[in-house]
Amino acid sequence: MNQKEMNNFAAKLLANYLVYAPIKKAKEVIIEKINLAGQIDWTGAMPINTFKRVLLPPREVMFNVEGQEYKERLTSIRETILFGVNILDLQAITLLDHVFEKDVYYQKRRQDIFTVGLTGGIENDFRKYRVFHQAYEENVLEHVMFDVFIEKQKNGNFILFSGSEKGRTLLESCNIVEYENIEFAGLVPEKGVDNKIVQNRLAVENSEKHNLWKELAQTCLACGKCSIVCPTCFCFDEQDEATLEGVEKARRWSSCFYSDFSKTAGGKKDLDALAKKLYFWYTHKFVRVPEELSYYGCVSCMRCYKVCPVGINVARNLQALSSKESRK
Amino acid sequence: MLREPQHDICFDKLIISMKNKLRIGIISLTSCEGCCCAVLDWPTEFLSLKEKVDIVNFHLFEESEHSSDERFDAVFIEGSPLTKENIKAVRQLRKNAKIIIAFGSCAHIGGVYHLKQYQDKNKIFNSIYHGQEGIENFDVQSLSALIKVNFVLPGCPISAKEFFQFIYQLAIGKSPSVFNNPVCYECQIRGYECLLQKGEVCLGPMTGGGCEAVCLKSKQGCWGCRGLIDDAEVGNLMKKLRDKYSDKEIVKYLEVFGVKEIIN
Ligand code: SF4
Ligand code: SF4
Ligand code: SF4
Ligand code: SF4
Ligand code: SF4
Repeated sequence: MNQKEMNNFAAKLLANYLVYAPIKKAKEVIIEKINLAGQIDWTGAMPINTFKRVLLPPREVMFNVEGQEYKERLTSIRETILFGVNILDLQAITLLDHVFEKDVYYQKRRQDIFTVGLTGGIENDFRKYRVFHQAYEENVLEHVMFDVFIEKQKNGNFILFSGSEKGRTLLESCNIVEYENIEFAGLVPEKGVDNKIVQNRLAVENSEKHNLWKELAQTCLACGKCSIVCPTCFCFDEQDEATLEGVEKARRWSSCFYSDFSKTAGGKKDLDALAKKLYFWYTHKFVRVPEELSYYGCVSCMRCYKVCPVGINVARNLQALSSKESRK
Repeated sequence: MLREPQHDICFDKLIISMKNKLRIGIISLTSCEGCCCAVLDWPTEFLSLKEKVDIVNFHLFEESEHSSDERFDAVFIEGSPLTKENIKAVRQLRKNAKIIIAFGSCAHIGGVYHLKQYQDKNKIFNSIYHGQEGIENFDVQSLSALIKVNFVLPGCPISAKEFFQFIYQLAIGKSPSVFNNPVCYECQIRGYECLLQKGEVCLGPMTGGGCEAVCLKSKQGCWGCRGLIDDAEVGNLMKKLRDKYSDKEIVKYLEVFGVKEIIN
């Protein structure tokens, strides 16, 4: 498929669906709702934001209580395409899909969302993004969930893959019959959990007494920007909003850096010091998620570093934790 | 002295009285009346309040004389208690109201007027009033320095959304919630450019959100009008600002809304 045919494909999608895609704006690539196929950025540059807000809105109303009456607010969304999702962001979406597997609000919305991945060669992407959460394996696409995947070749042409029934239907509805099927083979590769997961986990686990946390606590602002921007951070607060008629129950994004995050009814906080919050963040991503799902809690997109006002760098910190000399 | 009042509402007392409509007052002390105006920015919500509450005293809306023993369930007090008359009124309101809400930055942390406290107040007075007689030169203080405050609706001006939310919560007998995420939360969610990263002064990381990061929307740094969040990392933010600014420069930002005193 050449660029022209590809643009036709995107235009067909635009005619029938809401489409979000990376676009170039000023000097940055940013994910936005698009109107024209020509807006799409094909370079594979890491967008400054993520698709997370489409899958998991920053604030979402779940139900209302009016007097004795309970009113479910499960609403349908317009069918939506997440177009041009890079391999790391697909992995992040795969994680969210697993975490919210039994969440009715997420799943209801998810039914109507299609993911269309994009790469200019995954091995190359791994180098470009300086991936530190996994080692490149050829069958990486078998362990990530997607509906359609587009590979841009060196000659500028594209080849297509389908990763689900939803994807095949989507392609065929656009009269595309030339594509290859890839069966999702579960989160864990045949040869076992990725060695990088194991290494990172070992580095973070039991590092509570490591000096790094104290050092970082000398600069971190607890602003939580890193969690908000992170494609794999999924924590939320529940929030009651009163109306004249009753109560609206909503949930909204949160961060383990915020004061209310670990506050319990009596006012006690587990995370009562900044060093603990920092350690908690890494433990969650590199120890607890891998433990529960044998999957990545962090996909090494480096967005947290890019938005951090004091430049806290997750890749460098993992290195510091793994290096022998620094271990206490 | 400025003090950040603790949120503290005795609900039992209030809920008992809920058989009747809530009696509410919105009172202005010395102020620009911007917070009262902000309430009227939401006219539909304001008018439909009458189903749940009686607004018995709100001078922006009516001009009746009010007796000093008028009783309230809740009183929102805007502005700074500066004049003798203000101070007397505030003490009386405390006696007459079950709960008092510091309404906006002036009542909460001293507000913009508080700038005067950081200068030679007589010099400032003379340069503005040129020695005119009959004008008192008061100290600027926050509400909680005078009376017990039960709750704060912060901001310069307050957020109308939070005001109505507070009243709705009272009306259904629910403890009002406090938003304890920093301005950065709302700023990053909206994808505004980070001024702190660009090297400008922004107090967003230590300031309580709820304003929807409105200043950052216009590329104006946050100067902290809503006061501090719990567990604010003040020291680290100051360290970060000192990379580029002298203490003298930083202090100028901290003085605008009286943040300087609440962080000490
Ligand atoms: S973005 Fe940086 S400063 Fe803010 S909470 Fe995260 S690590 Fe700390
Ligand atoms: S690199 Fe940072 S932003 Fe990206 S997934 Fe990991 S923790 Fe999240
Ligand atoms: S615990 Fe912290 S790091 Fe983990 S998902 Fe929640 S906000 Fe993100
Ligand atoms: S501009 Fe200010 S409020 Fe916005 S993210 Fe940066 S530091 Fe936080
Ligand atoms: S951004 Fe800061 S200064 Fe502006 S309204 Fe919000 S709290 Fe106040």
